Amino acid sequence: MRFVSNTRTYSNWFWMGLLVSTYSQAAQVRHLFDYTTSQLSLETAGACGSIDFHVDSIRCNPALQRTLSKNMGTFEITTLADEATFDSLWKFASQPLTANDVKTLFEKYNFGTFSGYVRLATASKWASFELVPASLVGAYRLSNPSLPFLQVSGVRKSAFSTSLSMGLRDFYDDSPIGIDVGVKLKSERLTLVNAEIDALTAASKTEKTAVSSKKRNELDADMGLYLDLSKFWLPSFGLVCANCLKNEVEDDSFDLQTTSNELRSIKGHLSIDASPGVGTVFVSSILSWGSDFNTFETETSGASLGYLIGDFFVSTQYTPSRTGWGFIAKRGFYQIGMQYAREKQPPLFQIERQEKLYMTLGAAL
Amino acid sequence: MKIGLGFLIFAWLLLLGCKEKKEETDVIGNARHLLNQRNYQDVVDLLLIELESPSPSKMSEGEKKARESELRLLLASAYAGSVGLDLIDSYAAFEEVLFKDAFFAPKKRSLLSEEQGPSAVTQDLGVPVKPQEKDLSAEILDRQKAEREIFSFLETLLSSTKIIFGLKWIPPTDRVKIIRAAQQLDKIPKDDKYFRAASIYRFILFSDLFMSTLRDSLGDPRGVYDSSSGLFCALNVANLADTNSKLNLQLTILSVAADEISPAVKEKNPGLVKLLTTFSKLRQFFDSNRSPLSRAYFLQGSLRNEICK
Repeated sequence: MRFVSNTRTYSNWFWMGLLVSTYSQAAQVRHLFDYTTSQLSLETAGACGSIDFHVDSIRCNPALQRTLSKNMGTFEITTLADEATFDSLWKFASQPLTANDVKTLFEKYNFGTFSGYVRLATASKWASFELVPASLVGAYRLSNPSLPFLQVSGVRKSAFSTSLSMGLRDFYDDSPIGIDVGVKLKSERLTLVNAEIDALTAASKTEKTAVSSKKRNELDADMGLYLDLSKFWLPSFGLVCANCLKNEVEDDSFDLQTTSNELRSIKGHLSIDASPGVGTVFVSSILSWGSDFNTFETETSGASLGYLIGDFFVSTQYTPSRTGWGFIAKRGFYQIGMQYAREKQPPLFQIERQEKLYMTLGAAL
Repeated sequence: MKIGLGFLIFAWLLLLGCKEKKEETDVIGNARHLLNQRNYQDVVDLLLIELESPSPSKMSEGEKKARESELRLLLASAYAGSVGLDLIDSYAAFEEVLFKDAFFAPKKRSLLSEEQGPSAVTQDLGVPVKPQEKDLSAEILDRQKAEREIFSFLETLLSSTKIIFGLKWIPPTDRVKIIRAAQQLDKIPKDDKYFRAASIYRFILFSDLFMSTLRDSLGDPRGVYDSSSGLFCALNVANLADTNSKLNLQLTILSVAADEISPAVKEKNPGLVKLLTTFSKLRQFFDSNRSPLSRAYFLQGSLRNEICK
């Protein structure tokens, strides 16, 4: 069992007791340092996200769910938001803004994203179960100094999912080809909140319709296939159909796109590793298409290259919305990592790339 | 071989990234991005072209109208921003009108009230009360009446000093852009979700236009005046009387703009209502050929000698 925790103490209230994570797999806690604003934040690799897609694309493939979760029990409480986002939201919500507050918010913190979730998971040989009793994803943006607009969007979600999978090598240990198939059934209850308020409408205080909210229940499925062809000197290949039952955006009026609006998509991942004599080279790519292969999604496609020597791993990644490089080093039970990235957060309206430094600290028990 | 294959895939993907198809430009997103950088002129150019172009064909009629309204609101804000009218920089002024219930800070003592005579005003300004003013001869009554009028005007101006001097003074050559901004706002239909914002915004733009014209009659139109004596000494009443008809016209336009603001908004914004009251009070000074200011300005010379030493 691997135990990873935040080892630093922060003065801000929201860090207090925020994270105690126990993982059954090699998930990491990362400190994110945005040195354009000197803000620290925190995240884990617990969700199928865009960061470290090399790992996440495999994690999101239900065909591999049981192999990644073969140890019992995962419990996570996670947040991803920078300090400025919390401060900004707190100010918006709790106190009258002074002229200086408004200027500072606009100049320095005009965009922010936040997310958090509680996750419990367990796995057996054939199945894995995941319960997310609470999860929140959101973003805000303040734009146009001449006539300020505030956009806020959030999704609160509770979800339960179960993955069933099996592989050829479960039956034939010495099969030259590894074939794994899996399906993940997801039941989600979502509350979506969206607000787009200009300063003048906000001041009129009568525009209740500026904030809209919707609730919906969803039943969906991910399906996955994984082929291990390494014995034939070919790349391993995975194919995932994510959100297979959903083909229409239900909330396309929402400007701040969040993960809840993901449509059916097809993701393919290729990975290969080789030992050139010293160390091991990992090459991986993820290709993403829209529904029925009709659109190639460049934003969520990309590639990564990594090199492992001893307990030191260095890697670089590229997608159109993110370029990054970094390292992870292990010594005994401990690991430390650092990753530099220039990236756009998932909401599509963010035009500027942000420079981020992710710091990883971990300990294995 | 395996490594070679891997690198081939990697290189192919990099090339794929470079060949990324050009996404359809999100004009509104770009405009907002440019507005954030205060590139107002670029936004004006961008949106004027966009408004001339046909809307994306995939949109329904309703979506097209909503998009056009949003484009017009952004264009109006770009015009306003290009002359320095910026709600972030002028937040303190707008806070008084729109974000605070107490638009008029309570004053310890009114400079002028029905109970107080003009002598009280002149006393407040530092002019000694002369015993002979107690003799109510016709000449003195006329002088007192004129004094009352001019200081009533100053009092009204001072009561809204934050909004007057919090807004940027717009040079005469730039004022046409405020008109252009207002023209864009005029085209936002009443049933549009942006109409409420547009109606308040138009009122604010015309307020700034009026205030700027008014401030032309101050010695330093960019200056900030927070006392009646300072304002009085800076005021060129003769010049003010000359612009009487222009100010009168602008107040008429302001009055029309104010009528467009829904009663519900006014009800919820005491600051806005008080500003409207201020304008209607000011209007009495400009609404006839026999402007009280015209009659009062003769006073300025003698009073100036007494007050503005």
